[in-house]
Amino acid sequence: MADGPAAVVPEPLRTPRRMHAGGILIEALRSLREMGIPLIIAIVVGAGAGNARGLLYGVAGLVLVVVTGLVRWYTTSWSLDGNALHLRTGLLSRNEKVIPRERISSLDTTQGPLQRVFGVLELRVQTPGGGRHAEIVLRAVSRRDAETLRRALGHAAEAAPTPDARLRLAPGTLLVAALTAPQLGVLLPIAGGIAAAAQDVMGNVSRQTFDGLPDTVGQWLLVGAGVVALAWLLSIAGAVVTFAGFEVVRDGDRLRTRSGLFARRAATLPLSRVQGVRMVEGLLREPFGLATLRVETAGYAGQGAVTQTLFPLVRRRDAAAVIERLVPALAGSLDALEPAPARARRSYLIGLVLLAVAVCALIAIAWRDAWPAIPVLLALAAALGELRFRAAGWRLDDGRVVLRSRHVGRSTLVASTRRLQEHGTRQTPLQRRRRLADVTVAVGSRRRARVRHLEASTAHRLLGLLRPS
Amino acid sequence: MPERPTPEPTRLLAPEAFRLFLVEVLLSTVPFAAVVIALAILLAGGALGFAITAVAVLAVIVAAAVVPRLRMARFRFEVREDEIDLRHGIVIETRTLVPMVRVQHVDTRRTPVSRYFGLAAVAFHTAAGATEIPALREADAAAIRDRIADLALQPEVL
Repeated sequence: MADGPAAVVPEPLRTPRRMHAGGILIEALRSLREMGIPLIIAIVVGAGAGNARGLLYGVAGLVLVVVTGLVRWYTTSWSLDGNALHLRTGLLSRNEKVIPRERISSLDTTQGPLQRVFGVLELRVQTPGGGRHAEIVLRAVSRRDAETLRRALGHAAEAAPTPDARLRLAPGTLLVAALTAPQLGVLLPIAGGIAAAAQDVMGNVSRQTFDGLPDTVGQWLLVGAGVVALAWLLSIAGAVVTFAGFEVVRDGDRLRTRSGLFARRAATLPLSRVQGVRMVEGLLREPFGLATLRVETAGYAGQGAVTQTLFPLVRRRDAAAVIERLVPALAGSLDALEPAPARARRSYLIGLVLLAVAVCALIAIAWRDAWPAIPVLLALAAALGELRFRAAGWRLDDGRVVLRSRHVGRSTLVASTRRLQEHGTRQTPLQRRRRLADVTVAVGSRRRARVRHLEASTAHRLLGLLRPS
Repeated sequence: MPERPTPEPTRLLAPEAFRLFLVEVLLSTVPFAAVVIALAILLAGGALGFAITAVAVLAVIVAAAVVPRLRMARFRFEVREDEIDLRHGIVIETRTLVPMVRVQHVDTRRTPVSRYFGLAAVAFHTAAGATEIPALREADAAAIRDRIADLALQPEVL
């Protein structure tokens, strides 16, 4: 990577240095969390019991925590030389981790409430193939050190005054994003489950067996509604906290995102790591023409909602334009896709309908009272099959592939054909007979997109067109 | 984009793979069948127990007769200069093309059973996960591993 010559390492970074002194407390609290509840109980009980021995336990626990923090802080040091970033840790077994400069894919900083108290940053060093966790995490780095390190590695933190593109999430849009947060889709079935369980309980348990429990179906429904409302509020709050002030900037060959109400999170992502962009239209968003844009990256998975989010909420019709501004390599239309052939409709329907029939048979045998569910289930299965059939589509432009499919929400992947991790076709015996096949591509870390039931000849042609040339 | 014909993969697994797959099928089905049979005899007994036992035994025999043969017959692979091409699947036929430049590392794997038959698997890893050619003669596996490693190390940005 073109991160400047090795010679420009500023002298102070060459000598091993510790974290900011605030790291003592931050590490202490972290060890408290790791030692967990027993220790807290010991301290609380010790303090509460009032006798000398209890107090002793509590004090010993606190001392242990503080000493651990101090030791961790004291024994952790880092430095940068011409070739690599070094991290030394450990009291008894001294570990030294060496990450070659060119392997460093990005430096991210977060500032949690504690870090904010000391005015320091948490610095995460990412490498490709580093998997779920950052390769190195330094929990308290002064702004100046972080800045010097970033400059030395060519990952300047602040965007240029005139970035190539900048998008902010407006407060109104944030609220819409929070209201339609995908968690709600998970909540509704839970509510349904509560209502069903309530009916069961009402049917089997004689009334007033348990004092204080709701004793009519209506009351149970109220409880269920209350639980859902509460969970929904939590999910709204969660989304607001995560995505407040979301801003994404493209600046040369890097994307920088920043967001968060309490823990401000800043992430840098080299465009060269972006293997694709996925437009996800959730159940609650699709009817309003809204969608989320996510980035698919290699060796950068599991970093949570923010780093995978390119932009939390866009209008569907603006999505292509937003992608063009942020990831120019993937610019192009997301529409006018080649659909699945009309004769594939049957294949989309049959699996779901058979599943629904099986469930209905079970209902008919085991739970006759629920018979009204049977037509509903069958209709839902058929409707979902039809919607999946209509969602399916693909498009191949010069070096760019678009695949669209639906589970429940609709998902559209745009990827550069040169960046695919692998691609292939898949054929079940039924598809073989009907001369249909699925097309699969893998982008980023363990992410796949699949369009089902295309003409087998089309699938085979795509197999060839997606090959590296 | 230039359209060029996609040749089908042609290379087969080692002939000894049949016996390896047979052992694997037996290892994965016999203990399960044994538990089912034990439960059937202990709990159900009588005619039902006998019927379940018969079905379980038959299932193992059919699996042993069909699965290794089909796995052998259906597996094809090819290591080209710029990609690895695999076709496999007893019921669902899967075709996978892995661009050589995406291969991060490659290794050979041997289990006690495969070692007994003188076989090894070649596994190659991309950011999207691992893919395996399951049963090759050890020398072939080593050669293919080295060839993939050579080809994959052609410098290109990840």
